[in-house]
Amino acid sequence: MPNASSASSSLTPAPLTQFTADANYTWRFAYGLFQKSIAIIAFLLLWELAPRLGFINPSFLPPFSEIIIHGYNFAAEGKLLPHVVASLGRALSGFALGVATAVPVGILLSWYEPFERYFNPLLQLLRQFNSISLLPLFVMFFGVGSVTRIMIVYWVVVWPILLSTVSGIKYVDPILVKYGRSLPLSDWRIFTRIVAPSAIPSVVAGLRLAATYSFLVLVVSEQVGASSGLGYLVENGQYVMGIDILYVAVLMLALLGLAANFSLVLLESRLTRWMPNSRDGSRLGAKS
Amino acid sequence: MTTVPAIAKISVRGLRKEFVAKDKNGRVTKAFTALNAINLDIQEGQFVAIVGPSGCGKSTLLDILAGLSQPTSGEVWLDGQPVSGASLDRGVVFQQYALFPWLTSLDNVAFPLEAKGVPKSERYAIARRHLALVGLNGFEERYPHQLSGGMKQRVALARSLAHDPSVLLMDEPFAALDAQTREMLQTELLRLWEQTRKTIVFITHGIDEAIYLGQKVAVMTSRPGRIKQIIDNPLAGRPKGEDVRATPEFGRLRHEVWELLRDEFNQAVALEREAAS
Repeated sequence: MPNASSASSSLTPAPLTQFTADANYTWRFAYGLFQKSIAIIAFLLLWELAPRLGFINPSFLPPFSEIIIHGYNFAAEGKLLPHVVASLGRALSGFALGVATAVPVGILLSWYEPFERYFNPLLQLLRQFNSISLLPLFVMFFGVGSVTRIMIVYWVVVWPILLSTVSGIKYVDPILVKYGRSLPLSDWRIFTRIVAPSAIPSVVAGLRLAATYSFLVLVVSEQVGASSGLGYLVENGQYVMGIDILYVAVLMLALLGLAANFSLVLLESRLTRWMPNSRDGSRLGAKS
Repeated sequence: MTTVPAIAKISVRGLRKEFVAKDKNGRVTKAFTALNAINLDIQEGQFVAIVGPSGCGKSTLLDILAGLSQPTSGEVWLDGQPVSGASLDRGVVFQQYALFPWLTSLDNVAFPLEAKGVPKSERYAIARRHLALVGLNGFEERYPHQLSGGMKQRVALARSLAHDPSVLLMDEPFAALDAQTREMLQTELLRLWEQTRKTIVFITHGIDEAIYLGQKVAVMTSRPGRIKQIIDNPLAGRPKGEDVRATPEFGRLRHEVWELLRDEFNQAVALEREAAS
């Protein structure tokens, strides 16, 4: 029996074969969607029913539908967007700053051996400084405004990007460099044409890790002394605005995290199209 | 030696290469001589196979010929000029293919043309022609991971020919391939050699391969590597289609080279044991 792909790609498909192949495909697609969504649906259903049936105190966990309604109203009043924009702006600024500094420093570290010898110990020490514990210091230096939040995001994203850049460049296949030297290519050409492209998959993996960290610390930092942002909403929802808003902010953060990861996966699959099983690779990664 | 450096395409004189291993404090822990007193003349358009036991320094010799490594003493002359570094006039083919995984076959073959300064408009035409030359038309847009080992080495061969070097330096290029693919590529290489008349230096540890390919077969000793003997191959230039490997002549040559190498193989094994213990 011909499988779906060979039947639909053949030049002169018999109508019946085509039909069954398409039906087959639709069925498999629907089945895949079911597999992916069933656990989420069950989870939301549990969330809806547990407070309604009295298993959980609704003032701690309101039913899911109530949160959606509250969230919708909150957003319709124009109150949600400023917080989302504030958080997103801080995360992106810190992230961009991290990329702009960590990538060049990573290149210097891995390309110029003396540079690594002198600076690597310091960097290894600095990266152990816990960002959360540094928060009071950052507030002292940069105030309670956005700069502190951006700097704290910067502090956590810079390390994974730096390390992934260094390892990406260091583990370039030596035979490719040797081939480059045999032409011979200049050091600059070897770097731009051979080393940099080999390092891209590793750098992108670092970016994804950094994105996860950035949301994590951003929220924590916004819970301390900030006057806007989703972390501020979580903190104040708890005491002032009502528990629903807390859950709205938490859901919003989850959605933003998903969106960030999704765009990075997209970037990764674009940049690493040449890799064997790059699609499988990014799917595996997306689950984490 | 019958020729003077000015006449030979490649001339190697008194080549010696020592390696020094240092620990992280810069102290010398080990020093050994990889190559010693290598003398070799290769004529324009000649196909020379260099065969030797593993660890005899044959790859080191090829690196020096390619200008990728400097000899401790001695000289390499190319077209009457001393070799001081790598050049596009020598194309190197490695056992590990050394293809760029992020480039398609076509882009891989076009890669050295950029280094050569060929205008962009001409690069792809040249690359296409060379892919066709190695029988890979239709595979231009494939990435290396989508190709078999034999195909990858064909791409690498096309790439080394694309910038039109006068010398091809091949470092055990077929060693990682299965026996059938290897024989096919050997025949293919002979065809390409007859077509292009490049000077080829082919490093191998396979006796059959050396005899099948080389006009001259240079047999090396185990460490420190020296040229033990150079055999003029009477089978070179036999008409194609004939199963050269089945001729009595091939068997006789095979035995001759094997006799020369037997002690060297044994010594190489002893050296490896010593290094491992």
